[in-house]
Amino acid sequence: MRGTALSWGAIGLGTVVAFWLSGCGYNALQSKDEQVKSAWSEVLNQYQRRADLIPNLVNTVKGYAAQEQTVLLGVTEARAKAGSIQASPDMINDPQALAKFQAAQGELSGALSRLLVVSERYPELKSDQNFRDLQAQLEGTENRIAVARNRYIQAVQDYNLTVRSFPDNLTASMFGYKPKPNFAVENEAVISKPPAVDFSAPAPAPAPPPASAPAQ
Amino acid sequence: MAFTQLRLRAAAAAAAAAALLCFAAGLAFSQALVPVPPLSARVIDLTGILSGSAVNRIETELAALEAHKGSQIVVLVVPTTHPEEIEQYGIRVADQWKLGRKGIDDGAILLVAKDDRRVRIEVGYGLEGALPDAIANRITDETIAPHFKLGDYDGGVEAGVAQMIAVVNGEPLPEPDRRWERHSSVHNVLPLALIVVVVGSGLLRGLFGRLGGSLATGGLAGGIAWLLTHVLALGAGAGVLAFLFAMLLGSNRGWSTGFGGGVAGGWGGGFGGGGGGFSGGGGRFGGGGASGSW
Repeated sequence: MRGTALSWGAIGLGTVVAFWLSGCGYNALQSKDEQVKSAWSEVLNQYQRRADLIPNLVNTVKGYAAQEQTVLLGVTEARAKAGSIQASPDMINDPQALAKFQAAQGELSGALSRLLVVSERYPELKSDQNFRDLQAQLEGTENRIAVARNRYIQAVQDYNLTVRSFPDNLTASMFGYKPKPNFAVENEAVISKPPAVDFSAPAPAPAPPPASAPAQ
Repeated sequence: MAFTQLRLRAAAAAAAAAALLCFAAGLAFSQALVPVPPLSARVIDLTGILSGSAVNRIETELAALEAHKGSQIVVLVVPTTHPEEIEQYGIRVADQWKLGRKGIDDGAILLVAKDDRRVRIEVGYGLEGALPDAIANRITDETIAPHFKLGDYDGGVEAGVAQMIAVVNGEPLPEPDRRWERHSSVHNVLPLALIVVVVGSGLLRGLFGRLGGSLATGGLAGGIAWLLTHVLALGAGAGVLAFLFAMLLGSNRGWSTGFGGGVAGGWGGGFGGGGGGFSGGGGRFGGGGASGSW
């Protein structure tokens, strides 16, 4: 007798908990968390695609413009630096690691745009089919990065809205779902713009690049 | 000391940048974005730079591509994409139209912004292998731009579309019948055709006898198929099949139904390709492709 009453009670409690969880956004949290993760993998994927393109691009430019040592080296170093940061999936929960990752990728974007600016001075390089193909691939990849970043930003916004709004926030805090850091706005401004033509940067070549100074 | 000063300066710079960005964002939002037109046809020219005959030719080619390959390509000509870049507008169009089959993502858009003198090929995930950025770039730069420079918009778009179709045709993609299944026009037509033939042939056979009734059924079915598909061979084939079916139906009910199902199935399959409206199939885009100017 007592056993059946207990099991009925357990079933009832289980049902209530199940309804409460689904009603209070546990499932929504799960799916939005998963969306953020997949959007982040796409961002990483596209950054990786860009990194994979660079050795080929650098070699092609070297063939025509070997004297542009500083610019070529700048790209190679920026790529190495961006590559040295372990881009783990956990990074999306760590604002500092995310900021560091962004800074490195932003630096690489800058170095690449300087390379493209420099390559404008070499007509033979510009008419090289291989270089043109690589340039198209790089442009396409930069655009894919922009799209992936936008989708990631939207996924995080969506997730954060759920985590912060009542009553889902109760469920979220109970299961340890915290708001995630998003891409920083300052950097967003840099990246969403087309590469700026900055002639001042490559000109004082002997001076150390200013970007690497604060990082010790 | 120097460190805190540096941080302070960085913070001030960040604040200034943020303020500037807010201003810029406000400015951007005050200018309305160019709306994405509804997906009404395979060639949508909002500027009128393409001639009617060219539009018809391109539409026919693109419809043929979708019928035998399954991929969806659409041409969109807008006056401008300002204040957005053509890439930003392009991905908005792609996200709204969802060209290409769901799960295969084999859609592409040829986007022309006439007053900006910009052209872009937007490529769905599934076509990034056939139409990688470098190939898309060659099409925009070496095929389309030279025509556009001479003011030959018809020729540029036609040549560009022809190359896009050629590379897509070279790509092994799943058979297009999956799309027909989803649109289910085959399944709508198949039982209907069967019922019409069975009932109609029964009636006509009662009126004209077995041979005469079957002949009449075949003629009627063939005529209707011809009218609906505009393909004479298809109409004739359907007529012959319906005649045979009606003859068999008159002689032996037992096994003819099974045979008729197969016959009508073949006929219905061909028919389904002809009908059906035009809409995106649920394909996804990730910003692949290339842009150029002229």
